[in-house]
Amino acid sequence: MNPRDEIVIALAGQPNCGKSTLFNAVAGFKVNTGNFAGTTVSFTETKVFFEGRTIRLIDLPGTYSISSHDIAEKVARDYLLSGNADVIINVVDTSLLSRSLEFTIQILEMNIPMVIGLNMYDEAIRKGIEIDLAGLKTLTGTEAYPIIAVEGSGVHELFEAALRIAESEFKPVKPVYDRDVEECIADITKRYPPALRSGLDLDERFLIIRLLEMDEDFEKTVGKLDNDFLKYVLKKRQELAEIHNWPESGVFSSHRHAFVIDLFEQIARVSRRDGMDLRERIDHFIINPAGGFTAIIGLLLFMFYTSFKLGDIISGLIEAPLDALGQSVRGMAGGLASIMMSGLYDGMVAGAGIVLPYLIPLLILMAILEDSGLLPRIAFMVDGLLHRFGLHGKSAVPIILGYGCNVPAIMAARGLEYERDRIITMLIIPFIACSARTVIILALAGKYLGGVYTTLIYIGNIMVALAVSFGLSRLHVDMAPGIIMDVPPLRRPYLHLVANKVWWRLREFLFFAWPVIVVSSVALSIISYIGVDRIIDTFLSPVTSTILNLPEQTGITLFLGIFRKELTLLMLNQSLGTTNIASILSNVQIFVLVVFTVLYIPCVATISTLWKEGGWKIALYSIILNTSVAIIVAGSIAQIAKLF
Amino acid sequence: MDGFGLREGKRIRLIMAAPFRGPLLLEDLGSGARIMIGRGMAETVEVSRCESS
Repeated sequence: MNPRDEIVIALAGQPNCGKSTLFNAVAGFKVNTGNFAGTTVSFTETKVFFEGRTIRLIDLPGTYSISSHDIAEKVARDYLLSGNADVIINVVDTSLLSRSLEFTIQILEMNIPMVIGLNMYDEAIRKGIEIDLAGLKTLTGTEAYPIIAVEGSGVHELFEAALRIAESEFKPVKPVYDRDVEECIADITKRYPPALRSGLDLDERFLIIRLLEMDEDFEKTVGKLDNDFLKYVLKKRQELAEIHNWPESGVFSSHRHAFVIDLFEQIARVSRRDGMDLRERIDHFIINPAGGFTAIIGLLLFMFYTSFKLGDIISGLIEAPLDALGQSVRGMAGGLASIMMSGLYDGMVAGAGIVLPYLIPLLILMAILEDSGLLPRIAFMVDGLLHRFGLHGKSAVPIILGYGCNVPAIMAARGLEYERDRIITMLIIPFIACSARTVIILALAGKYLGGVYTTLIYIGNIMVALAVSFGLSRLHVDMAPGIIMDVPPLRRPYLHLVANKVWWRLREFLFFAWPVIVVSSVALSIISYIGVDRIIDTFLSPVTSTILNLPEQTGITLFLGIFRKELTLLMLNQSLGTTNIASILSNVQIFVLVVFTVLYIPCVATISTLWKEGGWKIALYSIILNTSVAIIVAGSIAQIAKLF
Repeated sequence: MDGFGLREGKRIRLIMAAPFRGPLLLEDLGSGARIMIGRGMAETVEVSRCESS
């Protein structure tokens, strides 16, 4: 196959500029999106067919500059430096064009064919920014196309241009800096050693600029190949800093910044507008302490209450027909076949009648929360509070994402720059009640104990997580560097994006979790039939019976919950032999069971993600930590309740 | 801070200070970007008051 038959296009840009939204607009919904920086933490690739051509499309994590600071930024930088992309689509948030151009200029310096996608063009117009597209092309040598990725507007023209540029000679107009800087670069270029030319496949000017910007990775690489050359560059860098009376670390970037401001002034016209529109008024209410906390608490209560109410209604509607079907299934055959049919039925019904009704409303509300831009505002409000418990403010976003699913939440912790903060955040996330555990809370505590105890479980869950974080932070006392984070404007969630996101997450349940539940249900029926469940129940009875004061039969359900958290709830009906849990368990026992289920050992998917992100020691630590805390907290409640 | 556009000579507006000695919410008057910055980091930055425009 001719290699040019497949074009590699990488989407690169600053965080929250809409790269993943553009990726999804072309490839279908394949990566998560959200209105906050750091939604994408690893690169995703897919093949798309466009105008008869095959495109390998790469979605890179956002990065503010080529100098990477966290793991996600390093992924983007390494890919850009790999030279694998035939063309880069530099996605920029047009409403923040002057800042976005800093990264554009850095890509230009790399000499990789590029086209600019001016995303959120509508927002820029609303802000009074007008762009001279022809001027931008003249001054940078790069074509730019206005797009609105969420609506798919302008995307076709952008990709047409990307294909054309990938196959033609790219002639960027490289930035020319002040005379002092250019003379410095020229002096260094004269001494550019042959060892670097043959050893590194990089543009010479780009490499010199990286060294002038104190890029430690390149300093190490160049130092190994020609240390004398590196010493010469460092001397020239110091001279440049002295001439301008600036610190070495900022002297080059300051020149680039001045260049970008000049470029922006030449290509953009900004007409200021007075007053605040409705979105800005709502934002103003949310980011003041009184309004902010009211909004956060109200929003979370609304989310869980709505999920419960809607789930209850849907569950009630389908209960009668499913029960009738169950009776006919159970009356079909005898012996092991009957037991297996019954297990199959229980597994199918568990997904349809118990999980889906509560899961769907929760996923819809989580998607709206992510797309609205409320998450960074919550991080802003709770940062000071989190610091008191040893957590970094940036941890707030992964932790809140944990209410949806712990797996992407743990991956989102990559956005934390310091190892200590990242590890504490990763260890706290498995304490957060994900959607599967929320289903258990709503279907057991909500149904049998009422709203007060359900709220108590949520508040208690947050308090336990904070207490654990406080304890962990005391084990490794260190000064966190403090938060710095973009706060994007509030945005209206788009119905089609919310629907796509809900379906994307629901698919994981329908095609992975539900089959696991059905198979587990059949397996449980068989092991009950042959009596293996009693062995597991007996083995776990020191915890279930003695400490938690629960019936022994809960042992097998808690064991299965390790594979999928929903299984604890679903298998409970089966192992207790009734759908009316309250006829077997007292209110205290239901409360204890829910608290234990919310806190104990993370599910297999979470454990494997912890392993991948932090190593096997972190995964093992998390298993021991969660299980210990669950036994202490739920056991204490059970033992204290026994006294009364 | 460079990546966020916060550098020498930049005109900024303080929008809000978060409770519990939380971060400050700033607006970059050049780009219009809103950035939250922790107090520890903010204390390392020298600012001077300028005439409101």
